[in-house]
Amino acid sequence: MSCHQMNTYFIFDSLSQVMQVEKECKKLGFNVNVRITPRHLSSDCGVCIVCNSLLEDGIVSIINDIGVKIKAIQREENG
Amino acid sequence: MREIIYLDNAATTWPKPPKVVDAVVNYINNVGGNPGRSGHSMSIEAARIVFDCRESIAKLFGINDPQKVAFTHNASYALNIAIRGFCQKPLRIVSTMMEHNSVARVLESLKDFGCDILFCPCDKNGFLDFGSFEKALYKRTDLIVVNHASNVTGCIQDLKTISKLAKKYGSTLIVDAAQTAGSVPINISELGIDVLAFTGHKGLFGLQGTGGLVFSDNFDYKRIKPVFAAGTGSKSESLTHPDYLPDMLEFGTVNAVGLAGLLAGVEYINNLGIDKIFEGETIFRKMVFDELLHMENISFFGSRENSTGVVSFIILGRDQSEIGFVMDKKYGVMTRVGLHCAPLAHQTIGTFPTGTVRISPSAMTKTDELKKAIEVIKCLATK
Repeated sequence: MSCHQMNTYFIFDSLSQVMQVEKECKKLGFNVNVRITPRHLSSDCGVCIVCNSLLEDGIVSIINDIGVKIKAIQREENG
Repeated sequence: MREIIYLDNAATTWPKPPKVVDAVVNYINNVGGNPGRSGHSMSIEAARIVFDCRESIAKLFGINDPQKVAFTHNASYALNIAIRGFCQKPLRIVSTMMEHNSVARVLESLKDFGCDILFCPCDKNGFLDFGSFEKALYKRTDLIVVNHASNVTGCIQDLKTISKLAKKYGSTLIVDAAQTAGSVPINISELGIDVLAFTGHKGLFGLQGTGGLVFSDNFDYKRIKPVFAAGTGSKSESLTHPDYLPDMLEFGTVNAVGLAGLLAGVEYINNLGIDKIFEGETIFRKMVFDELLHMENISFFGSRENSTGVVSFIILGRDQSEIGFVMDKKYGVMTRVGLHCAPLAHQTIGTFPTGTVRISPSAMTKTDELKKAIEVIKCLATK
């Protein structure tokens, strides 16, 4: 097992989508955070959703259920 | 301090529920960030409040997708954005004679763009003449714009029939709900509305400077093109304005402090129950009609039924501005006198160009206040 935890970043087109996803995930007990989008992931000036990669599949399922389009998903090591 | 009876809620509601004031103060003191323009905690908290407001508006108007709520400065901005955004080429547009200038002036200006505009007649109470309306639709009509309820007579148009006709003749339907949002139940999906424009500072008890557009789940919102371009906090690398909601129709920083208040206003409405609010307005209206209709020197405009709490009247032989002035200065009763930015409506009911005195309660109006105002009107009418 790696000593480094993997994080998954979900990028969306709009802030409003980020807020909707955050609210829905928290309502269903998924621990997600909203943070400034890492500059190497997007040149956008917005925010994204980040979570432990172990939660990724569940969160994708939630996002699909509420009909929000994911712009990009990126996994990164949390050093 | 003198006692005030505020009956100008069709212009803007007052007082606001205490929780609206608390929400605004809390935003100013404790939130403060710009939603979507930064990624720090204060900005994100502001964005959460804006989203909660978006979601509450979506629920209130019966749509599933909160992203299909776009906030604007008020209903006039919303209507301009929707109507002008829809008119990418000269179109035929059918509307009604009861429109506020927020629609009438927009349509009138589109004549210069080559649009064919028709304002359909309404009866003396303001209700749409469906015979003329359907006849108008025989000629291919791209867009129908209607006022849900008049700010002059309070008459509520039959949106179900209007939307059925819109579907039958293949027209898009935009509804101006400035006078009904928050005081009349509206389910966009059930009523068959394509696009609804609302203001936040009237029946929804929010602040001035808030309003928006709500799109039906089935409507292809890309048929409306952005009429402005601006920063949106998204897609910042591009010089092209976003083509997805809500960013597509939100230009620059939204009025987040206002939306904090609007969110609390919608919660207030939900707690009271919008059916109860409408019932209360109906009771107020009937009370005014029952108390004053028999008086010889008062003329009323509008119907006792199928209307909001807005009541227009004139005291015969008197300057109506004087009536409004005396009601304010001597009795502390706030009304609105004149044409109410709806000259076509006053032409329809026969009160152009002098207008009427308008009283309009809200869910915060107390029965005793209305009774006192009625006594004042009786007193002025018998002088």
